[in-house]
Amino acid sequence: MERRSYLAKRICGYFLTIFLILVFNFVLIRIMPGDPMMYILGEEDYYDFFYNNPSYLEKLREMYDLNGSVIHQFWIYMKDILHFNFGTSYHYGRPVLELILFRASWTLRLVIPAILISAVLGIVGGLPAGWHWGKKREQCSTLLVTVLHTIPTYCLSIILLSVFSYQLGWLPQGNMVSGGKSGIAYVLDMLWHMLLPLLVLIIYRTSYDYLILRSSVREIKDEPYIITAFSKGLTQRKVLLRHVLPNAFLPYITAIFMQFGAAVAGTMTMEVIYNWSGMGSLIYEAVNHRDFPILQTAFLIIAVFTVLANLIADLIYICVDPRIRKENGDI
Amino acid sequence: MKRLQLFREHRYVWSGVLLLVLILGIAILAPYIAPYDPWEMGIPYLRPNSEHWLGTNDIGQDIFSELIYGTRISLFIGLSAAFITTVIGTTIGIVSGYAGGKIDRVLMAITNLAIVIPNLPLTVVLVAYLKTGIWSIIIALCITSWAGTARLVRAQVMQLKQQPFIKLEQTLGMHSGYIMFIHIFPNIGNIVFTRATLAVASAMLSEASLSFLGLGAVGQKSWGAILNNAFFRNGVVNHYWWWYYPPIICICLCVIAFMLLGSRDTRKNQGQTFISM
Repeated sequence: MERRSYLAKRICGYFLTIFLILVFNFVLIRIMPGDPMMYILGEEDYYDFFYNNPSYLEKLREMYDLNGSVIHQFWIYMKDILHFNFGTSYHYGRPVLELILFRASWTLRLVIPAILISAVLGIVGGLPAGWHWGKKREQCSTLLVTVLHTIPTYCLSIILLSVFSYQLGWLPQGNMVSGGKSGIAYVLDMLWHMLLPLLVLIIYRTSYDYLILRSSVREIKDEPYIITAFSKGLTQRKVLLRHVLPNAFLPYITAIFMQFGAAVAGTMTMEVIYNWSGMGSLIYEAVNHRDFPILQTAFLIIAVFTVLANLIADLIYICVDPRIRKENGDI
Repeated sequence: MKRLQLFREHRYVWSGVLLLVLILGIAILAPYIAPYDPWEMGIPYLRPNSEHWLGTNDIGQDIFSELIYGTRISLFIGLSAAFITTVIGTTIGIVSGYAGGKIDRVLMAITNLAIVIPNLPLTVVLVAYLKTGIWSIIIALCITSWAGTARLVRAQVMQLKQQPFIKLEQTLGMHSGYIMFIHIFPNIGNIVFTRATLAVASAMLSEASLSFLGLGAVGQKSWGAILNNAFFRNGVVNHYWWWYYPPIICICLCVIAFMLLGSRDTRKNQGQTFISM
């Protein structure tokens, strides 16, 4: 019973967070310098109407409900969001939601495999590293991982692009597919194009996962139950797989889920460099075209997505770890 | 002898300090070190030679001088964003941890919100709304980055609050503001310092990615902006390595310097913990 009420409390907390994000997004364009109409219509159209047809501008303002009271405006805003009505992009002339979902699917094609592969690689590297904490070999590998983690993704992307695509010519110079292919040839071609961006993401995420697992394994290593396990005569291999890994695994999975939203957002510069038409490059193009409906919706969707990823991480934790029942909701 | 030992014990921190002194020196003395005015135009696309150590860019500006001037703007944005972040984060953390109750709950709700919102997209959106300039970048960088510090400080303050000397002061009826900032703050100085160095590193990284995307301060020379030029004006395609490797190296060195500096209170496992931050 206690567990259920805790669960309900957490879920309520997350919905409150989503609501606050919606409020934040609403307030954001209203506190920005300048007329909010400018952000809805785009700078060019706005000035055109402003000088040539001010009465039409007022009519539009009424249409977008920007002249009523703040509460009325907020009501309309929430109604639009609940109807998934995010407006139209004025650069592409298509519904914003459709554009974003299409682009998001391309980003996820990169992010999901990257997260899964690096989670596995993180275990392969991080488990022995935490276990052999402080030894020469571990220090060397940690140093290497830290250096890789310090190089920003876009710097790494540029280095890899210049070496493998421009100098050696082994890999494509960006874009997602060559076109004119179907079936297996299409998939292979896409994989070939994915190779470099995927590699960059994997390097970045693996180094992160490695560092997390390493420090949690190191803490577990000194727990009394590990000594108990050894005193039962278990081999080191068995202790690692049966006692260390399961205990380190839970916070590890949580950390990976928590980073899910950040991972989607973190591909932004990399997508621009590799010309990958995902969410990141959509946001980049939207900034350049001052396409505010896209910007706002993309931000909203990424934020809500991050909250949901956090919620899932929490749910996994609650379902798997029985100890959480006793805690009283404070993190 | 003892001094030498102290140096050895903190060798990671000292190497960070040395690196930073060097970077700071370059930033302050930029006009004296730089061989050319970085805005002065000359012959474009020169290879590195004895006059232009790192060649020139697409409009003939000396890349070496650009790098030196870039130190200034990158460091300025990094330091000021980190300063604001740390002040806000520490204040919210102390007040929230010390006051407890409703104030704590409201402040933590805001903090959790700021932690969840992904940083880079928000910053990009904000920079798109605000007019591009150094201060709008700094504001955009600060708006959510204080949250991690706030949460950490709060946890520390909640522990400290149970200490006898704080209890004693409360009984004596001392002003809460005085207790919070004169007696609690010095005790969490270490953590705040470590967080601050990390904040500088992450602010510099974010600034570099913004400038790389072309959203940086217009007309300013920063490392990200040089990289942006190199990438979008055919530097990478033609493999002009002297154009895009130096800014990458500068960015990484600077970040490493601040991370080393932040490894201060890790005497037990010398320079290990800074890695796990």
